[in-house]
Amino acid sequence: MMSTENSPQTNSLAGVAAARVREPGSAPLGSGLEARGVHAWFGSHLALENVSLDFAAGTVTALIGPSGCGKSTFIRTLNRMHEFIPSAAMAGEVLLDGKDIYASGTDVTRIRLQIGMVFQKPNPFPSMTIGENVLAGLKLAQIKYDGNKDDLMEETLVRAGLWNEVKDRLGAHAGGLSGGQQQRLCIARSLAVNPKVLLMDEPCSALDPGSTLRIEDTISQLSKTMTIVIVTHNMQQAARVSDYTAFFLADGGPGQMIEVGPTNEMFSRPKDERTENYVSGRFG
Amino acid sequence: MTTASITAKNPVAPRKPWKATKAELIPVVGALALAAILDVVVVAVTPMKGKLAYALLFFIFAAGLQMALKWRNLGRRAAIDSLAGSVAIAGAAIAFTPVLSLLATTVIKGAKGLYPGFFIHDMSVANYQSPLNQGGVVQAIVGTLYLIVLATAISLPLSVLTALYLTEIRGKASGFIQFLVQAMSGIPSVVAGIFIYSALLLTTSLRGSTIMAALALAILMIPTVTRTAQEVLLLVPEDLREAGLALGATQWKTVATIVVPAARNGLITAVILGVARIAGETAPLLFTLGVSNKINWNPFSGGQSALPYYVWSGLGDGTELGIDRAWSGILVLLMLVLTLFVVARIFGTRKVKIK
Repeated sequence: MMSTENSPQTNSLAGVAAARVREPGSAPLGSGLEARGVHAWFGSHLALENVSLDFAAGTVTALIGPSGCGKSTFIRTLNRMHEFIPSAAMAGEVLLDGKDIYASGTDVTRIRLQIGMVFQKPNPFPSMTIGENVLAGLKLAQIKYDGNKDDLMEETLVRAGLWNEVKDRLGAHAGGLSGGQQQRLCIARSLAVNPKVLLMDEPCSALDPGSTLRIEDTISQLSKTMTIVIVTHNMQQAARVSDYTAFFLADGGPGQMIEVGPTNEMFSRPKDERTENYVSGRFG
Repeated sequence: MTTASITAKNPVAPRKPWKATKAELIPVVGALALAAILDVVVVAVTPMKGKLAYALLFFIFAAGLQMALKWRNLGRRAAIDSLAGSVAIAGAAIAFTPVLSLLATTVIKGAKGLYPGFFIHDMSVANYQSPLNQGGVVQAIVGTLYLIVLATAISLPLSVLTALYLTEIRGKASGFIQFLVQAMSGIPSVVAGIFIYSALLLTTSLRGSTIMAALALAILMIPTVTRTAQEVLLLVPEDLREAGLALGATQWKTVATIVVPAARNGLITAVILGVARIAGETAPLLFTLGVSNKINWNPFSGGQSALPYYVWSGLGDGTELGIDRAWSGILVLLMLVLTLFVVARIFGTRKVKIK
């Protein structure tokens, strides 16, 4: 770790990117999601080292990097899913609207209500119909919804780009949908509780190009109203959907964030040689 | 300053912010203490008396106070969550109290008759009314071990093959066999003994012996092991079978080298459950085991002893010394079964190293 002191990493955090990386304890932006000096352990194994990254409200940030570089671990620390692994530990702060979600006395269920998550494998609830799946969040989080639930269901399914395909069979079980439709149903389910942030962990990795394209459209639409963080192995996808891209790498040691910047710069003129190699397809 | 230099200068310690801190635990422990005090006071001033009143009131006070604490800090949802947690803990406590009480009673009462010779001597040098420092159960230990080994050797292959037929081959008779297995698991244990007695002992010149009793026990063990083995085989992902078949393997090779090893830990659990089912059975032994007060090393002829049989005889003897011996027999049986399970777990569980 000492040897990284004068690595190219030092240079990569200049300019625009520097505004997106703040040290632990510095003043919060106040809106959006901010990770400050996040470390993550599994037992004694340090899986992620010192990631600081701001996700400004209304932006899409793509996390890219080879398998095992800590992207998924990082995204799971952002809504406190990391702690479900028994041996897990962490350090650092994650600020949502300026408040540390790991602060003592925080209601973790409220945090997860505000920071939604879409998983790699579509996971609609098998015992529920399509309609029930969409509204499952209201029931699970015991939210009293004053408006018309049918309108909410339609609105979220439209936002998730699924309405036209399922409007005639809302009472059918979700298992009958295709993989891409199931994943969009899961997105709709996350949207129904109106989160501020949506975390997506490789949401398209099991889907065909057509379904992927629809989900990317959905992400573009959603980014007008919420902050999105997406982990992806597909570099074209990162280039298409994101405003900012962060490159993660575990070079034999713990996963680290090598570089972050506006997506077009990261793909056209990255500052770090390793990023250059990765985005140009020379490795990984 | 860069992210890298922060790490180099101030190494960061891992934390678990989701665990309650000491400061957060103080009110929780305080609430439990308050519940205990309230409990004692209420029992003292009201007509409610006895251990049950203490336990019930303590649960109500403790659950109520924890709920109030959660409600104040995090709101109604968290309070209901806390109540559900308290009910689950109470349920576990209610289920475990009789078990612990049973264990404690067995240890206390059984320890009275235990002396080193109890594990070395047999009952040919004493009877149930002899002083407790005479005679022992070595013949019953040998008998029970024989019975467990033989019954397992008979039922395990049959059960696993039946389970494989039901889950892998899924032949035309599956439904019928499933029904039979279901029905067999409901057989009263004494019927298994009577069946062997009437089918093999009454009609032939054969006499009660270890193998006859083991056959009766196997009848009881087969449905338990089959059902459990079937459940664990069904848990093996279909993908693994397909991966094996896609490599050009035959179904037999796929099952033998991929499916069964993947279900290995579960199959060991199946055997443990089966042994637990039969180890303490007494009724099937009454007609099939014969009698012996000495070690009988030959499982195929001559009577045999067994720990449950020893306990049954001790209780049947009715004298104080006989009953003390029975308790010691129960304790030895418990220790024996526990030892077998621990050994099965240690040698049966394959350590899979995950990075």
